[in-house]
Amino acid sequence: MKSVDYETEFDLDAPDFPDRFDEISEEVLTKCPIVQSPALGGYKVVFRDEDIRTVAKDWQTFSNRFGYEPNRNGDDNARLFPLEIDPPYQARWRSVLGRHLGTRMVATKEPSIRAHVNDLLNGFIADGQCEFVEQYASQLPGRMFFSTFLHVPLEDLPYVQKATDDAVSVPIAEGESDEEYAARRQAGWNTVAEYLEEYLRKREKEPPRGDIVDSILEGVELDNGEQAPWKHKLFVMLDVLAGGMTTTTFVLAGLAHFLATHPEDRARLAADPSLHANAIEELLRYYASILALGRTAMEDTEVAGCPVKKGEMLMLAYSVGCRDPEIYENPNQIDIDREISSNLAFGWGSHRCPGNSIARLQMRITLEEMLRRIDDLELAEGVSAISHSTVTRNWDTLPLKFKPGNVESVELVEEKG
Amino acid sequence: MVDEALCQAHGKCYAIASKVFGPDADGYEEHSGKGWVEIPPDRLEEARAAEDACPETAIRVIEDD
Repeated sequence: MKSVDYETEFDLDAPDFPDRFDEISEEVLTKCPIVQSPALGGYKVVFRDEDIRTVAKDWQTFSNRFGYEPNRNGDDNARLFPLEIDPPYQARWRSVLGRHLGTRMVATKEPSIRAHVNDLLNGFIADGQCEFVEQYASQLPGRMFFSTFLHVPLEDLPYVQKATDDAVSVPIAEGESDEEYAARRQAGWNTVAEYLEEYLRKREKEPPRGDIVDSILEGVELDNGEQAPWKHKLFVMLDVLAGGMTTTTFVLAGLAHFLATHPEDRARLAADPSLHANAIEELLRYYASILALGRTAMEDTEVAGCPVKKGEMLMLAYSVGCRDPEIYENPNQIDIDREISSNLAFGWGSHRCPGNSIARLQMRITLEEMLRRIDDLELAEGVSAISHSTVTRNWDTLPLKFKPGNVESVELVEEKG
Repeated sequence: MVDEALCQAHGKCYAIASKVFGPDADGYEEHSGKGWVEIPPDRLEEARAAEDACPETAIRVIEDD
């Protein structure tokens, strides 16, 4: 393999990056804190923890309103809000989301999440093996969004889940061209957008239930004092969905991969639940799912000693920043006792992941129920594959084997509010 | 504004800037989820110090003119 000059040839989508993630992260973090990529029309990438935090926090100099990745050239019919807007408007939508996604509100969803976790485990526990991404990690986030938070009827789940998978998480199929794959993803998005729009229209006519859908329908003011238009409400629904799917799938697969490959840690966690919260923060760091998210420079400036021109896109490589040796000793090792004072895995600044509490709760319940129900967990024959798609790290397949267990009775309750 | 989706009740903000921030019954910042809140100009500096100290980056301070 020819050696890559990271300073001029770096590409977030380079095919060897997923498999050489540790090595390449170490290289760029120690040698070149910021690089210019020739890919996708050109963008810069920022790697170090400190530089990422500095840029991410400064929303006045580094705006989100020109898109979260290169080449998003302003299709105003398919935006993600509040990701692609700036404060103060952005902050009003954050308040709406925070009311329903904050830690305390999310804690009330625990029984619903636990029922879905056990229902999914029931699907393969007697087999002694599973394809964990397909049968669990890609399923739970969709159930959270559609069932626990949106209260979409359970019988609609397979339909919207399939469309969501096509839109955000299904990898390219064998023999499928890039164009066919892009078209399939777009078709998935269209189906999801149509479904959500129809659902919003339906809910608008019904008496309010006090849930997140009602709060989004109620809306917020634009910066000029007018009411936010209808399509912005759909953009918010799409953002909540897009932000919580493939990202959570990745960390859930990471958790299972860790349990299958670290038997000593697994035994400690099974014996002492007080270790769980810290271990989850470390797993979120190590298996950080956002490869990078973009900002656009609003003026000529400087980042990490490097000049940045007005209009340039900076991709903030959060997953790489989570491996910064300036912050973490042995950053490419999982240490469940490591103290993480402030986790970069959810991003930083005004756009930091509003769904972090749901992600943490899905991780905690998955950990608890897998420790309780599944013994002798190991990687199975087959490929554990990770791919990158500019913004996200995707866990495509994770075959696992274990001692067959018993199906338990689970009651999935359709929640109201 | 204090972002309710991010506040985890660490308590650093009201330890640093007790005249601007305070705890609610559960230790979360009392303005979290209440949108933009006005603060007097002479409190700006300590509000910014709390903004910098928050481990969840939940606090946003802007100057409105």
